[in-house]
Amino acid sequence: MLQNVSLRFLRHLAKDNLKETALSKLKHWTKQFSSNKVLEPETSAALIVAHALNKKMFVELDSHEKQQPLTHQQIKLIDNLARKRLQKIPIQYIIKEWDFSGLTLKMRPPVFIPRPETEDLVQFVSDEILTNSATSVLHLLEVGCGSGAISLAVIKSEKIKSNKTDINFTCIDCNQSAVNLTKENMMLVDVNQTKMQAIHTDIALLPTNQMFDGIVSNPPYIPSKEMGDLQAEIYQNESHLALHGGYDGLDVVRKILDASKSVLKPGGWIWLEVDDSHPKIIPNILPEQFAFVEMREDIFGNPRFVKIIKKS
Amino acid sequence: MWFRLLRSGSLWKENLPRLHKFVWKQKQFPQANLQRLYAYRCYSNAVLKDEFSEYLLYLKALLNDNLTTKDMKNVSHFPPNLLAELGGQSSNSYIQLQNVVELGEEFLQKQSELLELKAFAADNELDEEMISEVKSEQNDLKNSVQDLHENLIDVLIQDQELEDCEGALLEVIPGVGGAEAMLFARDLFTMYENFCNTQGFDWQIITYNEHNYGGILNASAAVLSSDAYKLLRYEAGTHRVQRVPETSKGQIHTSTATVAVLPKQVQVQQEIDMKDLDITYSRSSGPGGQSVNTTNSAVQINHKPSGIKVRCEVTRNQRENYRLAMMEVTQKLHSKLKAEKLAKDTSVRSMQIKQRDRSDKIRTYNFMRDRVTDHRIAYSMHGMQSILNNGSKLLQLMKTLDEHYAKETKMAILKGLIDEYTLINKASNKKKAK
Repeated sequence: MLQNVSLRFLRHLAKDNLKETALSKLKHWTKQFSSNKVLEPETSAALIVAHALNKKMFVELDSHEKQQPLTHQQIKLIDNLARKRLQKIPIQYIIKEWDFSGLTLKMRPPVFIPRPETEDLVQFVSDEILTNSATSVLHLLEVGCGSGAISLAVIKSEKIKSNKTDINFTCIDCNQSAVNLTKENMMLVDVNQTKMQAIHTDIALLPTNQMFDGIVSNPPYIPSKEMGDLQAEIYQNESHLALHGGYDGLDVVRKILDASKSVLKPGGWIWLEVDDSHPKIIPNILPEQFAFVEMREDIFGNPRFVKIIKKS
Repeated sequence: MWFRLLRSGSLWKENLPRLHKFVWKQKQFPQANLQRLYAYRCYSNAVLKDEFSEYLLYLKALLNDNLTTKDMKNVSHFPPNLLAELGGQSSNSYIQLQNVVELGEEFLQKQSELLELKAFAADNELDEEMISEVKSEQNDLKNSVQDLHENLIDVLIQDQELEDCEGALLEVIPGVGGAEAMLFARDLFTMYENFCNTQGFDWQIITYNEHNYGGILNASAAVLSSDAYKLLRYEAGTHRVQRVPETSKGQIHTSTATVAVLPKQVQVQQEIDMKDLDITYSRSSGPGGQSVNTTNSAVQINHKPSGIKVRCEVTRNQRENYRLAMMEVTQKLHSKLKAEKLAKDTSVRSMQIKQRDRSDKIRTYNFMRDRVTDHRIAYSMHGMQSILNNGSKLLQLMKTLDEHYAKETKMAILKGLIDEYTLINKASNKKKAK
């Protein structure tokens, strides 16, 4: 029996050779994350390991790559990234990129990370542009561009690329780091400065000599009382300027409507992403120059988007 | 039913070793077609050739009849099975029939030349030189008759399963054997992945659900290549493995995994009522929006009426996963409805397809003897590692299976066409007699 034990021990040593593979790292960190109460332990570990091997998803690795021994550098990289995740840093800031509407954009704290619901807003704005039959250039404004996701997605969408109408996006954000990130993403996805400009300014300080045909925004809309309920990843890492919308969450929406009195052309449209409690409140707070057109739900079934029009 | 066969005597001796299968198959197929299914196996190629010549003359007569009517390309009065083979109610059927008749005339001419040569050799006394010349000419004629026969059958009976087919959907599910079956399912899926990569087929994983112990719960992939379905369709069935599992202490275990292969059709026009679908995103319920940051993008779609469930987590984007999942649900629903339709269809071709889909333990992978055996054609290969890794031997096996089944199917369909003609002939003779 002693002989069997020693043989089995030797066989065990020989089998693994004590080397780490992508699969073993995945299992190890999934365990670590779940025991440290990190949200989405499996997905986080899978994304980190895949990123270290230059892939977007763990399933993209074929079975050979999954079981290949990792190099020392790769193991170090995975462990460093995973330790950051233990500190509740969002994955998007760790791997420094994220997908949005078919584009892969750079991510950097504390700039707001695009959420999947916002992809619908891109669709609505693109459709709005297509219904426009004027041949002149359409001037559009994005308030609070963050990483530049919405404007870039609209410009790079297939519908808009094949359309003849010229569009020009002016993107503003009150956070300088957001403006810088937007400019970097513009270069990353190859969008010309003639189509889009990123400016560091507040909406109230916009010069009134330029009027826009349409405004799109995903403004901070979380009401004060819900700020405390946010998960640690968001509360500790993303800029509160991009999240907190005041007592009822509508502070910035009101500022946009105020500014639109002077910078939006008559007949122009505003598309907003808002909190699910807002679509029933907004029709009642609109200044008299504006009319509420419609409300749309997001893919999870929550009331999320509103369209407002300036009377002509 | 088999008592009647025994009494008839004609099929007694030839079918004696096969009778035990009758009882088993009787449970699966209706009576009339059972007779047909076995009848074709009693016919050898040579016998069919004689009946085939008669059939070709009938086709020629059919074409000539058509010429006399004013509507030159009217195919509506062709017998139904023949029409199905030629391609349905269209002018293409007429052109197809013309091709067949042209080739047929050549075939009949060569056959008559062969007969003449035989008669010549029989009547006259020949010296050695002449005998060798006659023999060589006989051989040439025989070869050309054989080639023409095969060509004709290929032109007449085409592989309709491959129509509108741009690829295959392959799915592997573990069968009997617990954790070991899941590991084997994973090995099989990897084998097909390696095979497709070696052959240059476009391999796209749609679902891949792993189990904690390393095996898979289920996995499916789309192979986008025109040859893919032709080769992969014969992989469908239960594969059996005999090996010492990683989890065991040295005992040999037998476990199984099931492979399902569906054709991926161009432009599947399958309408799905959105009300029948239950779509779940893996996102916590609640307000959502800016207050949540989820990275898990899995989408699950349940089609309630049919029970089809698809879970997709292949990209980081919810919309993309949703699109892929919808594609798979549409494909599966389309195939399911087609299969239900096929179950009611009793034509010879559908019988062949049904027989294939109901296959049980088509292949055994024996690791101790380093051997893979396909039971349908009794074909064995050695070199387990190379088979699992790059699949060049697998290609050979698939090609052999394809040839084997193609031949079987063609003979069966040809027999069906000739039977149909015989029936029509008898009916018209009865009418004439009256």
